[in-house]
Amino acid sequence: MKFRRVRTTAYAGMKMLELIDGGSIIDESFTQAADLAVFWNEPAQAN
Amino acid sequence: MLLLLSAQFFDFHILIIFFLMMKKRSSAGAASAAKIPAFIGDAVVAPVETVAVKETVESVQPPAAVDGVVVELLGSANNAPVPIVSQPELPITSSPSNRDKFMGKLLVHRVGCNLDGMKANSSVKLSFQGTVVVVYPPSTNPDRRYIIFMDENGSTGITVWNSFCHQFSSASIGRLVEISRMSISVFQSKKSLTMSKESSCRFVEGANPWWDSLLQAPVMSIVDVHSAPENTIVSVCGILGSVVTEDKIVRNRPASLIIMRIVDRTGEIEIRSWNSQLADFSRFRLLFLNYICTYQSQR
Repeated sequence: MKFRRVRTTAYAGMKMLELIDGGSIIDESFTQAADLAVFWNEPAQAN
Repeated sequence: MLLLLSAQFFDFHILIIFFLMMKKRSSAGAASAAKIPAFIGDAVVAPVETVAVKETVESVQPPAAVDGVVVELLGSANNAPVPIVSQPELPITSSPSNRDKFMGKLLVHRVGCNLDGMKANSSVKLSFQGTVVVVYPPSTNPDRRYIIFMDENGSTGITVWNSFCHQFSSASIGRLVEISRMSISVFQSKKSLTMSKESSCRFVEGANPWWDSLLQAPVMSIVDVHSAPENTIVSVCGILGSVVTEDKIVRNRPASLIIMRIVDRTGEIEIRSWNSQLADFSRFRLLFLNYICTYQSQR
């Protein structure tokens, strides 16, 4: 998923993102999706 | 007898001559030193002209000081001193009005959302321009609402009052707003803008190029988002791991907080939404379950 135009904020020292009401856009298909799929399908590293 | 009379007459004449001479000497000394004859046998015999010049210079006082006027005293023992006023040599002085005008042009009268480096007096009225990004719920007594504005240089929060409070809503997000006659204040080393009774607020019509350009911003990795300053507009992408909802009480009103967690190669981060419903992300939850199955099959 791609979140466009989201705002960075922090609470209790932890950085997080916040959707802007009516301003943020969520995309399901985007350029970096293939790279994310490769990352997700990578075999787990044996510790 | 005749001899006695002549002797008395002679003594009388001598007395008269001596009296006249003494009278002449005393009157001459009081009138002017220039008229004093040099008596032979006086203890101090000063040059007549030197004494005259000295007394002349001392007796003539320069006129009252006048800016830019040079007074020269010319004179001698024979000529009375005459003050001669030369042409005034005016020094280059700074005019207060000109200086104030120049400094007035250097003062900040229009500010954006970044107030950190701004130097302005609290009495100076400022015009502000920024894009509405966050609109908080209103409060009453008096009516007020906290708004977060942003532009390409930073962000700032402003409390709008009374009638201006009702001009803002969630539909105002992304619109460019111009507020005039604001004053700057500092609290705990943090500058902020304050509205006054004379302030006016208007929405700028037309497109907002900065707001529109944010949609084309490059995607930022999650690890960079963690190091980004607060109140920055970014775009991120990642694998959605979870979508949960938490019921909160905000200002005595129930509110639903949607929390999503996404992950990419560099890390993970939480994305929150206060104005969304869980149903809005139901399709993403199905995707999430699919990813879990794929993840488990890989293992």
